[in-house]
Amino acid sequence: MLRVQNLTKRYGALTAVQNVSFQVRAGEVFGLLGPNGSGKSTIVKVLMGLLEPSSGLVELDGKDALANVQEYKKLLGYVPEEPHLYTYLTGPEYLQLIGRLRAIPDAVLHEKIDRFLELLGIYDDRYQTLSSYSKGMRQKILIAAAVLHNPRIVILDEPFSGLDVSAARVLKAFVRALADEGKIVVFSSHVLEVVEQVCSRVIILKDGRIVGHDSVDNLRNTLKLPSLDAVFATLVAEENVEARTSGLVSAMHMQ
Amino acid sequence: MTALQSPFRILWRTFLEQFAANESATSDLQMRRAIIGVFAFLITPGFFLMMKTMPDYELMLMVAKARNMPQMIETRLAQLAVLFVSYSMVTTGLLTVFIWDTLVFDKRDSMVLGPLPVRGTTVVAAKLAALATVLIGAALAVNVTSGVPFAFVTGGPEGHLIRHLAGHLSGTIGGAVFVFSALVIVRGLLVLVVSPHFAATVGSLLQFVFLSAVLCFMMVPTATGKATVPIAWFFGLFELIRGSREQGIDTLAQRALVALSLAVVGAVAVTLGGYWRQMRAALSPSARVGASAVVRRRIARLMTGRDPIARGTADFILTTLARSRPQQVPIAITASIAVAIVSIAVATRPGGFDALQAPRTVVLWIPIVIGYWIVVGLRASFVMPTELPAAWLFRAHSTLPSASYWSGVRASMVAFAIGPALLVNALIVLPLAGFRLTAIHSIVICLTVTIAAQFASLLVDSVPFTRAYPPGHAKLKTRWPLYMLGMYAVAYLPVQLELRTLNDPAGFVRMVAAGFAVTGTLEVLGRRIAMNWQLQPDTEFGDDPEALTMLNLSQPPRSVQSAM
Repeated sequence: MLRVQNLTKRYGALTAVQNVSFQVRAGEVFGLLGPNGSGKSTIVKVLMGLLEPSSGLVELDGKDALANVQEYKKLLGYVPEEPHLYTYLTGPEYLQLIGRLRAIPDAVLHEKIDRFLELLGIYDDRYQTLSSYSKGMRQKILIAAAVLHNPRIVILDEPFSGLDVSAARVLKAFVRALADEGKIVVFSSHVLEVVEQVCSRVIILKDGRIVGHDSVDNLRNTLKLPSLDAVFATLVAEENVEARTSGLVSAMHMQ
Repeated sequence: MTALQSPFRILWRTFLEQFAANESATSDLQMRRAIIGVFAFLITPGFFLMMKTMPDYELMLMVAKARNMPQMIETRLAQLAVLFVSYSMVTTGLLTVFIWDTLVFDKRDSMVLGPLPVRGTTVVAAKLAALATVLIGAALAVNVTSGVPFAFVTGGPEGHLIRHLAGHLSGTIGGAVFVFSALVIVRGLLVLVVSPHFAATVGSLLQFVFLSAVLCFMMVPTATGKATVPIAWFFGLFELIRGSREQGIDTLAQRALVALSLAVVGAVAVTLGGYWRQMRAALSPSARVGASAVVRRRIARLMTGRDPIARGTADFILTTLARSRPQQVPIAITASIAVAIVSIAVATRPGGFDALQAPRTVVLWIPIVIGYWIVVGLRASFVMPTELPAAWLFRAHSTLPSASYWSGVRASMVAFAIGPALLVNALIVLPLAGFRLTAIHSIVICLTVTIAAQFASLLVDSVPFTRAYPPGHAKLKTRWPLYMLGMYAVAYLPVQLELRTLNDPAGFVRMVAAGFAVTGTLEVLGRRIAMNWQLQPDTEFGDDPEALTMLNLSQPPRSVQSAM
């Protein structure tokens, strides 16, 4: 089980994440929801061992995971929000690099890479450099890179970005399959419909604090709202959408 | 209210900035400094040439007048014309190959400009205007500094100042425009006919060639008096306008004008063609692995063994060096320095060609000097970042510190440098010194280049290309003596020892054993130092800019948890 206890992260005088606690069980897809600047990315980076928390703990099976970051990182797979890749590498070369850094033996690695490329529908583009890949194709490479080493914990930050409908359907099923395999899956996204379909429990963040934490069904029932979208709007969106929309239209017409 | 700038003006400025863009220049100030540095580098040899040639000319003028030999003056003026035209063409060529990647339109241009409501003619005109601005700026900087003193010294006393200045500027600037246009044509045709990848590879080779030429020019500024095509054409233009009545000059000048016109028209046509191609066909460069890259990877694998992290690191470095242009530039520069050094050493040695066939330091050190300077260039290229945001993968997937990363870096350096050194050994030492000595020398080359690479890898403290360039890191002014000292230790000294043990097999074995001992010591040292390697927490993972913009002063949030 992955447990986050009283996590706080400060950048100088600003507090990005304040006193956040949650736990993710094996076999569960856990959603992180929140508007821009709510602290989702900071939490993901702390979970990845890329940022040190100002205070609080990240525990895996009851032990401080960040005490030995290198060992902890071996268990992690990560799909970042932005598809930053070495664009002069081909897809297989990129996956080969990741696989080798993950110390996967070459014989297994080549077979795995070919299989991933075939299943993700980018095998025919294996000789092309990533610079010529579409955003969706790059995203597929990032997804393959995240699970290449069969990680125990998978952290997905906006994994559906750029994917076409059929690839998104496959990925949704794949995320659930990862959970069925007993993996710990943390899913951060803005796409509420997908979170509603994929995640068993969610936390909703605003200004670095948890404003909602439960299963999607319980959140809906508690607030007596029809959808996660409505729950999110109630908990997070404080501005008047109509006023902002008319403001945008008038700004567009400015001469 | 500020006036709107025309699209042409905006694009012209943007294209100009592209020429100076560099990943190692992290601010406008640094970029400006780099541009000033380049112009200073181009202008200084011009002054140097004037200081070297004009006093000689005045002395010769006095002698010619005293002996009543006007032909002597004409011959000397012709030699100077060749010198200035050659210098102008070589330096302009050098500048052009350093902006090689931005000479024609690329995929990025089409992606950015394609969706914008800007006419194609405006884009092409702006690109041509930017190219012309760079060309005129460089050509004037290089040639006015030598043209004005030349005209005053050679034409002033006779009242031919204007004619001599016009002749000088026509010949030199004409030559510069010709070289520039020819390189634009070559670049454009390579992209259109072969592939952008091949065009990029040729760029590095041309940088090496032109830099070697300029360095040799600076170190041995002697006019041969003989001009080869196309220098001869522009020499003809120079001389015709200056007032020379030599036979055949007018023919050469005519050819210069024809060649110049064709080159300029060709450059414009290729720029148009490049724009048309980029706007209509999305490029999808396929990544081919050349034979040399395969050999390098195999050599690296011999050194990394079965360690997958070391192998992955070495492959990453070698692929980056093969496909990323900014990383190739320092290597091309240091390899040019090596060529210049060995050329000067050979040119200034006593004895004729026959003397080179005996085992001599001046020949045997050539492959090692090349290998050594490539190692220096590799070390410099490692601090230049490539696609910096992509470096997150090492933070997410790597398990630093680990000796495996150092092992990969060391293996890639050896694999990259040893091939050219052995190739030079086969091309230069074999014909001169024979098979036996070449074979023996190969062992010395492998050992010395490995030692140089191992030593240089001790100075690496992170995975290459994954950090932002620290301003002022190069410290070229202060490190030159160290580089020279290194060359003495790695190239000169081992060759001296090798020459002493040529007829002493036991002595040679002892020398090789000592070499292995050094590599072993450096190996142990490297693996220890590697345990201090750290991943730099860069801005992406340090102070999160997204988190820093939390200025939401709205009402306090309601907590569902507390409500429940």
